[in-house]
Amino acid sequence: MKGPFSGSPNHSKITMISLSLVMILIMTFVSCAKEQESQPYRIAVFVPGIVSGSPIYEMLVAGAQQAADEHEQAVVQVIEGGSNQGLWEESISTLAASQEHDLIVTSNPAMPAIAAAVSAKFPEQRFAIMDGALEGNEAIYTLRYDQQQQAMLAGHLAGLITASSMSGANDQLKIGLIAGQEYPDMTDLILPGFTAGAQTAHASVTVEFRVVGNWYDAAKGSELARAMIADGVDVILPIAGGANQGVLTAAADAGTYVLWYDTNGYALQKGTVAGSTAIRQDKATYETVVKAIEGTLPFGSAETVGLERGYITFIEDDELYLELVPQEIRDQQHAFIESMMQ
Amino acid sequence: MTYSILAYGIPILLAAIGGYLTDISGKMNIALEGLIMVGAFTAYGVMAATSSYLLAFTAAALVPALISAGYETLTTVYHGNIFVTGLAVNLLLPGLTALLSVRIYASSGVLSLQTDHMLSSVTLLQIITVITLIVFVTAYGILHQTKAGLLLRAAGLNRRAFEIRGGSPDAVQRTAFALSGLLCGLSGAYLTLSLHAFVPNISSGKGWLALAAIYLGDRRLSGLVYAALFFSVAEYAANRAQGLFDMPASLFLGFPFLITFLGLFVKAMFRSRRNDHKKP
Amino acid sequence: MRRYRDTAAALCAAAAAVVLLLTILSPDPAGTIGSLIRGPFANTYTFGNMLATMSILIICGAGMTISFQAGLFNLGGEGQIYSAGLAGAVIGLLLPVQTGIIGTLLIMIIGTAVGALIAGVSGYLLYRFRIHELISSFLLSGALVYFVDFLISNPLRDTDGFLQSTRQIPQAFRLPSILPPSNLTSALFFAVITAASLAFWLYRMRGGYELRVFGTNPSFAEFGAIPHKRYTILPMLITGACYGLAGTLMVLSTQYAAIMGFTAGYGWNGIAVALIAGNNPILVIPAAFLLAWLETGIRTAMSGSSLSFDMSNVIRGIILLSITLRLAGSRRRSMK
Repeated sequence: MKGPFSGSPNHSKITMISLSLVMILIMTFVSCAKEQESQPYRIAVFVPGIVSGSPIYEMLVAGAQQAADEHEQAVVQVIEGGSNQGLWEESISTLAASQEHDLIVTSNPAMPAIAAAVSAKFPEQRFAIMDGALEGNEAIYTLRYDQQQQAMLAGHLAGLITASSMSGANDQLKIGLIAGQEYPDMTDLILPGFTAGAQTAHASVTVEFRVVGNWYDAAKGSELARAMIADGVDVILPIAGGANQGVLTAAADAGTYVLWYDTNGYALQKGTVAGSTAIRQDKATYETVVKAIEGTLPFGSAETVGLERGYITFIEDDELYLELVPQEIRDQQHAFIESMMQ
Repeated sequence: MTYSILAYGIPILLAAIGGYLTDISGKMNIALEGLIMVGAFTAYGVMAATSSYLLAFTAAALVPALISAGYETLTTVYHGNIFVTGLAVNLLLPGLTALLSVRIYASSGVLSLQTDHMLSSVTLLQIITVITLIVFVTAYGILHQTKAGLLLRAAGLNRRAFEIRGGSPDAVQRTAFALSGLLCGLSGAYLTLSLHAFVPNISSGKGWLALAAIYLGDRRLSGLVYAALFFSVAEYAANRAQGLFDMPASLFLGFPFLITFLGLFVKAMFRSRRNDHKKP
Repeated sequence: MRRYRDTAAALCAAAAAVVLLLTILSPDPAGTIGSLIRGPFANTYTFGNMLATMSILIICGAGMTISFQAGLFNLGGEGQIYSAGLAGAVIGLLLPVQTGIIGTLLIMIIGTAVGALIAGVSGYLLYRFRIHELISSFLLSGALVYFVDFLISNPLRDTDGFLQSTRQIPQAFRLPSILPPSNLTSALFFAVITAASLAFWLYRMRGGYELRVFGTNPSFAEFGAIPHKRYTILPMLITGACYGLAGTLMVLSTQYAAIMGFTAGYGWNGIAVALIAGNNPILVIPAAFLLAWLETGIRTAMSGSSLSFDMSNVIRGIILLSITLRLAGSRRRSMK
């Protein structure tokens, strides 16, 4: 027998050859099976994450799909990018390099910068980006939701509840925000908005801010929430992906309240979720993609939408909200929403 | 505080005992992270279907045990490297769970349990603490008092001698792997049942911390308890620190690792000083 | 000969498993398999990216072989790559643009040093205090990853952009592209040189010989007057240096900035590559090629057909499993 390492080069050569053989075999088999169809308007939806279980991305896909369904000459393909930011640019570049898509639709505050970088390499590619902002690149259209406004809605209700005599509210005027990570929109828009909203409701409310460090560690989310609750926080807004679940459990155990962000969350934990904002990403995506198919999307411009046009809502008509939150607080919250619309 | 420390430490301790059993059998199971995931997912499925804690825990223990023993066998039969197959299994299991989740529940996101007749978090923690105590005492007893424990350690210490005596180290190692899967499964089941939901990536590095606990505990069974306790206190302190100091919250996320590292360092420094004194 | 037949059989089994899985789960199995295999060769862009991925894998894997050969285990690759990448990006932002190529070299040297230093700490702690390098490198890396995360998302963040990232380093420091617009740069040459010189040192020079003796049998090495200190610390330094180099090269050739979480599991893949290559730095090259092919194939399949993200991890797992089951079988020395 040869030495431990001298035998290996041959070995891997043979491996490589056999591997190649297997692959070539499958390749020929595959090539026969593939055909090209005629050229409709081809849309790629790039999801910087995973669709399933993420309402924001589910709405993104649904909106694009609906637009394509209504236009015979349009097809949609969904690509999941996973949660590693470092790989998004390469994935988008690969999409652009394939030249198989007339439009790439995606959603995330980080995507405009990535799209701009890809656009420098592949200037022909067109992008429509939801939930992000970039003006002046002729290949890119962006639409963003007014996150500060949305956070203010949540903050205002939190301020009302913590100062109220609701059974889960204590004497202290402390509310909390738990984020998955510290990202620009979080520190620059959401946290200030949440604080401003709460202080509009009651001037001396203070906001505790905690970070989970990722978007999935539910046990840590739960632990951070418990620590906050022990410090006297009685309303928490979690924006931490899967870790939200931990916050929900901790608050339910302690009998305090949670506010939900982006989607209707009242039914997730009855008696705990006391308020919910939502964004209409499906509507925004649908309208954007329809304009793109019809050739009327103003590439190069950046839009900001919010409460006024119905892209951000505070869900007031859910039965669980009506049951849990007293009339007086609901009226004040309603008045606040009306004032924001102006 | 006790609640927080136990809730964080118990899942790590359970998995660490499992990993430790494989370690002393001479072949370490590094797929603990993936096995915890599988346990958590199985517990969700069975709990959602039957609403029985007993069935959920049992199934959550058995499925990862089978997977663990299965991949160990495959690796032995095909002369693979247990470390790389372990890495591969760690990649494979979360992916498979997500696929199954989409197939069965049409979502790979958070899966919530009906909370109507669920135990409270505190009761569940008491149950899992008792289970862990039993596991620990049993493991201690078996390892130090029985022939089976002797075999386990012998397989790890000297494979050749073991074979010459007519024993089968492979069988011993397979058993150790099955047990480690079982314990990871219990750990995962606890995570799901206490959250009232299965969350993707629910293990969140607990499997890796369990492996670290084995070394931090000087590869002794009792050491695992101290190590898990140390991690939990460090985590608790870091979570608390986020609110206490006027500094960016994310600065404290790495603290549990840092504190543990420093603890390891200080402990080793004292030990080495003591040894220096002993020497002439 | 039987071993080779088994290898082929294992690979066929893997291929069959993947095909079966895709047939059941993918809406377009043929298309997915097609792009999985042909993807990396479909155009210069994907081909270049495959070679770029391979370059980084070679460096990580080659570095890892050295500590494995010495019987040491560096589990801190992620933290070493990440910290070195950040250090490189910061130096790149501080240096005046006029330094040009010298600046690039300086960035690489500092990044490499940072990686070496971090791993070296674990080596020293093992030598001086007998702290297991596996646990100390893991913990140190865990702490560093979060600390670098913090630095990137707070004090060093590029406040003009929305990505969690530092500012981009100036054009002048970036490595020259090969096959634009792909990510391939002269990093490939650094990779091959690293692997070749490590192999030469390991198999042709006294130091490498002593290291291998030390790794196989430390007590025998003691009789041969092989310094214990050197071969506990040096291998860790080399491994860390390689990870550090890999981190800076990623910044200099593809990311141009330290982006949050850019290490993307290279620390772990380095271990896999080294083990598949039987801890031989030269064999790291084909092993890295194999993994890079797989990785690029999966990525093209994900963008070209409807291969979901979860599905891609399953395929990665299956293929990694089957490659190791036979390939690593040729290794005699087991992990300690």
